[in-house]
Amino acid sequence: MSRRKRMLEELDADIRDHIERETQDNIERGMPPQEARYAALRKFGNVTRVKEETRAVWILVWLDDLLQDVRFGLRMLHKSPGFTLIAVLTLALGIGPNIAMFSIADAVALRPLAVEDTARIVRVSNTKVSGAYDADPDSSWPEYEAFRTANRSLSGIAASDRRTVLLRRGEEARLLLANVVSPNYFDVLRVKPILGRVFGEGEFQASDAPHLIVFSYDFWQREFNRDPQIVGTTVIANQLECMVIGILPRSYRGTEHMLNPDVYVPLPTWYAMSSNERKYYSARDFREFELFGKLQPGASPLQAQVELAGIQQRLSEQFPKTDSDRKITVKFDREQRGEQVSPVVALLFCVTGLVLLIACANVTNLLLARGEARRKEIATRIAVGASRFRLVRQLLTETLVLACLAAILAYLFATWIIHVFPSLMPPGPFPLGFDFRMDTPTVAFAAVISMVTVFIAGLAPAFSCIRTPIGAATRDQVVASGKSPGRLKNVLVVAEVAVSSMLLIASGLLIRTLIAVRSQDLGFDQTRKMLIVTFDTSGDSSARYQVFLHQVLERLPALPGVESVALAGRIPMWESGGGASKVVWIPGLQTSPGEDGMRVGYTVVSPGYFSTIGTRIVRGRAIDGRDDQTSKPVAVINENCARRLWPGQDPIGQHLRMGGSQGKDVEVVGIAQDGHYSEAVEEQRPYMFLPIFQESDGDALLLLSTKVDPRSMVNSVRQELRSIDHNALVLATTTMDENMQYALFENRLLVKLVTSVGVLGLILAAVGLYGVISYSVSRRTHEIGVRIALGAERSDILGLVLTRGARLALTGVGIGMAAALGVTRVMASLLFGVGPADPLTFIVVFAVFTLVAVLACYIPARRAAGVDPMAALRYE
Amino acid sequence: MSTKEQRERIELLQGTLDLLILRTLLMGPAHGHAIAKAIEFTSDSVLQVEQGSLYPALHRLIKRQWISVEEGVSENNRRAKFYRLTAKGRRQLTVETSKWDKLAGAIARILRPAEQKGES
Repeated sequence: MSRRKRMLEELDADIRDHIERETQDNIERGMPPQEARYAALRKFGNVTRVKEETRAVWILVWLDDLLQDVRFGLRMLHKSPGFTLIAVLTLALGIGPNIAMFSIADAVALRPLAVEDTARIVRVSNTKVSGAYDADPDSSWPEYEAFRTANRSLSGIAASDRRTVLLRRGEEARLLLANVVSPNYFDVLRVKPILGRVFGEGEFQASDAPHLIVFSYDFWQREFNRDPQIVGTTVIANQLECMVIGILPRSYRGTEHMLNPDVYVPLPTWYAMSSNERKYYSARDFREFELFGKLQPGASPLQAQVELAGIQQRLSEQFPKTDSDRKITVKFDREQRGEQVSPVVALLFCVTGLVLLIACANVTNLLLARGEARRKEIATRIAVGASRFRLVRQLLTETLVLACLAAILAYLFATWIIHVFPSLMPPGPFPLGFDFRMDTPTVAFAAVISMVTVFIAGLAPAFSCIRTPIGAATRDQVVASGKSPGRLKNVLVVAEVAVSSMLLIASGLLIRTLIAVRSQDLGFDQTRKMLIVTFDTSGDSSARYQVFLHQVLERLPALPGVESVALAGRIPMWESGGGASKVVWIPGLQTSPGEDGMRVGYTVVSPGYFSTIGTRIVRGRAIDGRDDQTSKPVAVINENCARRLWPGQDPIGQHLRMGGSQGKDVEVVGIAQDGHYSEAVEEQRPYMFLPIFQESDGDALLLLSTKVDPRSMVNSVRQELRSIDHNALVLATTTMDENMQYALFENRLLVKLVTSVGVLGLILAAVGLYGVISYSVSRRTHEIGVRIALGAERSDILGLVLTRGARLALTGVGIGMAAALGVTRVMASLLFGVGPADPLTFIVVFAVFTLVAVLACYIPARRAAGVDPMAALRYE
Repeated sequence: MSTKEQRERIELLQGTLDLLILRTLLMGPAHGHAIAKAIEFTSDSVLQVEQGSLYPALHRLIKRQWISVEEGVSENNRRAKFYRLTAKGRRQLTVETSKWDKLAGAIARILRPAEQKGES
């Protein structure tokens, strides 16, 4: 029982006793008993208030002590700003990534679906039993209908599929990510819209039901600037007038982690938008729908699974061709959510946890070094009667103050990480759906982890401090006493240096790789200012489309700022892939079994393509205005293709058959330089360019090489296209620069991740070194004083300390470099244009670490050199 | 009266009361009622304190470890709690007393010229 409780328990009895005594006194003075009691009570005052005030004493004194400790802690920290800064930064660097990781895990796996009764929502997976490859656990519409009507353990099942919708916005168009959903979607996943309403199953019974759509919050904000007027108006989606009936709350972001749909389209409206979709959806083997169910109260996922599996069994008997060999699994949505990402999240948590531990160890070292310096103060306080418990509390409070400062900084650091994290994700046509934010669970986690850190980092130093013998207060021998400076601390610092130097070597090699990849000849001019436009036309006939393309090539070069214009099926490294290939055959060609020729990648191009994109024609001619439907079919092939088909011969004027031995006869008119077509780093491969006006698959990108910033051309290009065809729509624009960014995404991501962890490691290693050297200097003050008194020069002392630090750092760097030699060999597949033992990288990293080590040791070394021998020896 | 003034006055009173309790206990351990009586007696009833406010003060002093509590039997054979001055409290008393003296002296110095002015 606490002292406070014990003291307060007897308070009632005390007061009663007091009043009785007073009454007794009054009676003795001659008052009648009744009056005597009243007088006593009056004199005592308000009993309840007295009790309250007495109780408050205990709380206030406790608070008062805490405040006093905090004030003292702040004062002590203020007295050594260098220590405070380093400790706070180290803790923030350790805690920050953990908070960010938690926030990411929260957004990705922990945060439940923001719907009513979220605990009852289950996912129904429908997977193929045999066969290795079956990507998505999705169901067909007929299966969905069967499950929905026959099952009893789920109160409802909703289906959703991801499609794209073209939304017209005045002169522009937007490609939207749409969730095509069953009409009962919002009956099952109940979401309260922030504006308007959502659709329900009942609305679509009639054949002339209205066309309805619902927007997501993010899309509403992005596209309509949160204009509430939009609700109730009609928009044109896929040429269909639909009414916007509601806006979903920000917290509801669909059922996928990655993608937050822009718009929710009920299936009947979807059929009206795209009539040919109905036949896909009614097919038994077109499995595209994700199914979500809501359990009946009291029902278990297993129950639902057994029931649905039974329904599926009957379907497989009825439709053995399409519906057999399937397995149904029903799991809680939150379980499924966790499962998908938990291994990755767990791994990342291990990394950030390790970083935190290292940071803790560093701060422990710093605190120990400081504690050493404060031993006399502590010893004095113990001698004059401070309780050891009180001192531990005082010291822990100091660490707590540190941790609070660190927590604030870590929180800001984490916010920043969360802010830049999406930019590390691959760029795509749709914004990333993750909703990273510092919500309540994250803030709670931040608080908890900061407090835990205090105890890990602060407890040992606090206890080591108070173990000081009292007699030591007046002698400075405490400095020389105790165990030798921990071997463990040295090992820790060496390990920190080793790991971070290894990481920085890896990052150096990756940076060199990125530079090498960027500077290689890709077979086109990747630095050219170029706008790439994806467009759509009325497109009702192929002939009209061809006319449109011809007009584009004629009229767009006249636009001010445009250098040259071309059309192409795709460009190298194009983000939407499109690595199409054709089989090419010539007499006498060695072919692999089952192939009627050689596979050659290709793209269709218009006249002017090669000069626009900067690909050299090595021999012969480029595709030009002659090559249309009326002329003989021609092709330009690359050098690799030429070497393979006609080794040692002149390919110009040779003929090949496209599509196999029975295919179309095509004449080779030119050879283009070799290049890269899909990846920034790839094997040389055969490739060819076919005239866009000779091929039927004529979907094209518009390429404009410009003299000015390509982005500034978007509007004039759009207007020009519309003046050619008033139905022409610009769907998307990108630049060559962005295209290359995308192509190099993986290399850049790797560089960013490895470098940031490496730099974090370097900082922690530097702090670790600083802590250990400071600690040893403060322990050896006495010894250093003696040395100086005996005639050692200040520079000798400086050298002594620096050597000690350098020895630790060099040991670490040595181990790190040896390890790096092993590791970089493993990552050889990630490297390009640089060897795993690249001397430049190793030398730079070595130099950086030497410099940082010297800097980290210089401060304590200067302190050591500045020891006043008289002060150090005075206590003898 | 503003709340700030009120607080200051209470603080002053608290300090004074603490001092009076410590001084009372200098003469030996006593129970709550006896302390109240003693203060009333020694301060010539100048400080009109409600007896109840003694208890928060006592607890404050216990918490600060300036006084301790022990069970005992009072003069008329009743069980009672006795409060006793600790070594720490004794030290504190000298500190508080000198503080008090200083304050009293300061007030006196401030008041005296006014009195003189009034006389002249």
